[in-house]
Amino acid sequence: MNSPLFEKSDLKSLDHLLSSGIVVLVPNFQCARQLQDAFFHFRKEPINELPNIQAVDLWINDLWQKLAQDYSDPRLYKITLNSSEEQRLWLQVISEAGHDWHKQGSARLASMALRTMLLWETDLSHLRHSALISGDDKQAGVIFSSWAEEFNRLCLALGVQTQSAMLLSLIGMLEETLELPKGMEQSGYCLYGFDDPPPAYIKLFNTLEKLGLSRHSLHFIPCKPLQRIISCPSLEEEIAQATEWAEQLLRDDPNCFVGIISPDTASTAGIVGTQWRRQNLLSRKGLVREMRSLADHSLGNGMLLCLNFAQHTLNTLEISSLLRSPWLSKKLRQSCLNDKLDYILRQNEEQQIPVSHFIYQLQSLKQSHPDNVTLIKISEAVLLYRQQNKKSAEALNYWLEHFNKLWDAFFPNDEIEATAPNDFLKTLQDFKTKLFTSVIRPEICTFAEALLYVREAIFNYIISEQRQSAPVMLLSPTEAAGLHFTHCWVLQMNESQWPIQQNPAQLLPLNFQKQHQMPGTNRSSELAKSKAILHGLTLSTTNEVCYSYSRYEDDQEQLSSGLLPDLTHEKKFKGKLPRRMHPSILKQLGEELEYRPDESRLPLLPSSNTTGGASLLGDQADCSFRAFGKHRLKTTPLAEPSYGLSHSAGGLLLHKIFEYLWNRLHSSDELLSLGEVKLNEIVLACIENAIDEIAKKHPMTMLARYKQLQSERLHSLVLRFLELEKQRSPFIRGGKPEQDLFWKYNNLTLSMRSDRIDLQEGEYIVVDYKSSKSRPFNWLDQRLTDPQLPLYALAIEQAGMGKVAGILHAWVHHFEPKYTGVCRDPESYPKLGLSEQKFNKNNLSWNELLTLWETHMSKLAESYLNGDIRVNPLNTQSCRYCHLKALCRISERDPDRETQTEAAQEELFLSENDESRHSNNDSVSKVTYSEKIIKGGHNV
Amino acid sequence: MSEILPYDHKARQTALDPTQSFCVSAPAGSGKTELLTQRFLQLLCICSEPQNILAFTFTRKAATQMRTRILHALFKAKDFLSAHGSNYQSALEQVEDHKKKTLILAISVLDRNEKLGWELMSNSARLRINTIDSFNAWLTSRLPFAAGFGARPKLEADLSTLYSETIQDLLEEMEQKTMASSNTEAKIQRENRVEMGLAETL
Repeated sequence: MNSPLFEKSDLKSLDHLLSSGIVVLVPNFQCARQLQDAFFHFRKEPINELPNIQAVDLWINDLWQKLAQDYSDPRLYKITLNSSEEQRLWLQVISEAGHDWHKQGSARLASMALRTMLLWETDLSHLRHSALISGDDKQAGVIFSSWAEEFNRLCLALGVQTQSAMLLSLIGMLEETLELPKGMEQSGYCLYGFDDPPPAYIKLFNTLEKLGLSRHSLHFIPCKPLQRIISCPSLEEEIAQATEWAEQLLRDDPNCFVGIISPDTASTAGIVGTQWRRQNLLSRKGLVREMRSLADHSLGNGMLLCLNFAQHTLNTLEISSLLRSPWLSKKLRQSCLNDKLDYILRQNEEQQIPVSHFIYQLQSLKQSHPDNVTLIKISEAVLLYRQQNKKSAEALNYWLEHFNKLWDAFFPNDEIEATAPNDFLKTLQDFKTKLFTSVIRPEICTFAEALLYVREAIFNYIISEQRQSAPVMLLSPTEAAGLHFTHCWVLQMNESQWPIQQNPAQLLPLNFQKQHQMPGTNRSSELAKSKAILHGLTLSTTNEVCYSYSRYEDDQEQLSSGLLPDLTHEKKFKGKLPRRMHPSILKQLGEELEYRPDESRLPLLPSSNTTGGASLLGDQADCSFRAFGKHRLKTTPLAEPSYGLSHSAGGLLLHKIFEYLWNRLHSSDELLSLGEVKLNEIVLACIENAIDEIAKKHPMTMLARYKQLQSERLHSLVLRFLELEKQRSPFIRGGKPEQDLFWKYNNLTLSMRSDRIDLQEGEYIVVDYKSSKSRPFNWLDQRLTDPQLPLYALAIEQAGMGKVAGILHAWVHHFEPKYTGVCRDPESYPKLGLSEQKFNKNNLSWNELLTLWETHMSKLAESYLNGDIRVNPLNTQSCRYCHLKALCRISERDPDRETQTEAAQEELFLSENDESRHSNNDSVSKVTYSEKIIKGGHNV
Repeated sequence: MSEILPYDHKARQTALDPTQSFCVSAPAGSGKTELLTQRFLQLLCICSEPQNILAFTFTRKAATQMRTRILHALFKAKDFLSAHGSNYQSALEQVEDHKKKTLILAISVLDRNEKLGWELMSNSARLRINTIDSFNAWLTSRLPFAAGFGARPKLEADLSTLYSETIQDLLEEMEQKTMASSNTEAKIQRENRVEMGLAETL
């Protein structure tokens, strides 16, 4: 079977190179392993030894060892420190310098700074010189060079050197000897997967070339994968998507090799790692030895967990996993001890438990199971370990013995031998030996210092283990260099993460670093590097590259990286939807809520009481769901507080005035016959009566001064309107003011009350007062949202009271009092002609109008009676003041509606505001901005 | 498109003068961030490197908002230029007054971005818009000697665990001094009680 990652021709050229005795040098173990794997696939027949594909650092070490065999130069006797030992030595230097610093972190920084200096071919003389000429960085330059001098002195005294110093020594010695080490089988070398190696590496290879080691190149055919951009709501969702995608790929093709690339692997490793470990059940051909930290092995991890018994609290799950480790569970499984302990620890569902509580439980179980040796050993070891914790400084070996006892209790040797394959026990013993004999270590130290030393040693001890390779890998962009994938997902493609930010070495002067073009000092080159990494990923991925970014972090909007290719951004969300999510977020997620049609209920029972009058059919026309909720279920909105007299009370006041007035007057002739003084007197009396009546209901608002102001405002308003009334053709009062009317349809009876009915030339004119702007009327539409006046007309005709000749809205506005509506004789009503044209666009005759209304009203009534509960708002205005929005969930089904409604509100407000600019004098109790929005136009 | 200029139009224009310093005090929603965005764009028009300009906010939310606004302004300007080409001046007349200023500044920044090769659109990390806390953290990491920290200690948002550990250490120390050795079980129970009591107190 061919490798899914490489073309056959690629592997042929690799085979050709290897057969010619050329070593292929790659940046890391993973890369070497992948190429070796592919080579096994390609060769098919068994191969006795690993192909000569090596990680560059290992190869350099090998070169050093070969030189040591040939020459007796004292430089070759030096021991090369690993990173942990190097940092320990730095720790000593910084501690002796007497700074009250964060020493561990500073030792790491110092180690990195010196490494950068050496790999970029600078030495302390450069640094000192830079410090002299650069005032700003003087302190850093002077201090760090004195530290580095001290570090070098210590290395010399101990006969040790750092990895980077070893590299420079190697170059120096090769230049001096002018010949390649004996026993170097390679005739040439080939670098593969390096983007931009440091100058020291380049110098080494140049030197090797001078000495006769030929340089070769290895180029694979660039891939042309499908590229996609996935936009996710959050980082968590990004990770979930990526891992789910990887799982799916593995299900479909177990031979695929998936890379998940993240610039911040620390934050993503946990979640992705869990997913991919679950999938790591696949076998691969070829034997590969993997190098990894002891801490990453379950036993090393267990050793670290044991050390945590020195703390006050422990993670419950971690203790639980320790008790269930393969080396302990067998011994504890007798009498189900591990289950009992696990249950006891986790029964309170606390994330952290006190260690003392754990010990107490161990002691209790020990009493009930005195014959379980493992339990007794564990119990005593933990107790002893904690007691020793309190002691002052001791020799390091004292503490190491102490830790060893604890480990022996938790990881019995016989069990390790039985359960851990691949001579792991030997590896473990080697580690312990190294721990006890390390050159760089504190002699006398406290418990805490010893603990730190051991922890670091576990993390830095690299074990070589034969295991199957993982088909899904989470890698940082630099770790991915040189690797090939069938599928690749690049996480966190946000502008804050890509281009990748690389910081310069903190302890070195910045100008010095810039001068020597050290990494992280030039933004343009960093950008170019990020571009190269992304380009490299595309070239080495055979099938598909997905880039993802999160649109939000917490509630903050995030932007995508400018390095993304110019492709459509797919919005995906496959996670569980929260129970209630704002429509705009749902829209962002590209997800819709499930919609289950539920459009009718039981028809209205004949015995049911109907309330609401004309508004019932108005609501039905506006939205069936609202009519059902409001009139059949009798839902009412919560009362809203308002300052001053509410709109409805204001409207009622005006109604009352006209009711009193037309109780006094009986006809237009009587109105015309009144002198100015008399009319004033009557109007004032009516206003006074009305105000008194309303004041009874609003005693706290209608105080004396307020009453006076209202009286003055209403007096002028009513007189002005009466001027309009005087211009009408003669009429007499057709019924009493506030006349009760009824309209019936099957078992539905609507009870209504007209404001005024006039009798003009033997026919009725129905008048309704309006004091503020309301929604436009649509009396010709099938869904009449303001059916009040047409219904009055129908009710009068239905009751056989007589013929109706018109329906009118009387606008009692200070700015422009007017009549609007439709009637047989528009000439009788000033300014009505225009209004009628507007309302009666189809030029229907009066009788045709009545028939039309009858039909439409019947349909609406029928729909209500049948229990229609569809959420079918007529337009965006329909939902503006609806109190049932949370129940009908229209906004969730149509997220744009909310914006449209807001726009409609805005528009209406502006028009209202525009009008109020002209009618400022009308308003004694000015409503606030927000009140206007809430209350809006109101029908008095 | 001409519209009525806000009464503080002149003050807003003056606040964009990069040769002077200003303190802008205005109510919420009055356009302070917009003004700051404009000033940032104005400064980008004259600086040699984008990272030479530093914008502080007090919250991460504001920093993100500010950053987003500047980038949006640049992207909008880019779209505007590609839509109208070299004759964009006449199209500018159609833009509303309050948006025009930002657009003009963003167009100038794009020009400078092109000339100096900043690649701001793909390398927006060059815009230094930070919270004051993140700036301080950055500063201490850049000046390890002057700050006296060495490596910057990890910032801990929740200190309750540290308080708890400190008090427990203190009590243990006191116990060791005052109490003679006692049987193990009693000691464990005492330790439990102390921890539980403290946990409640904390």
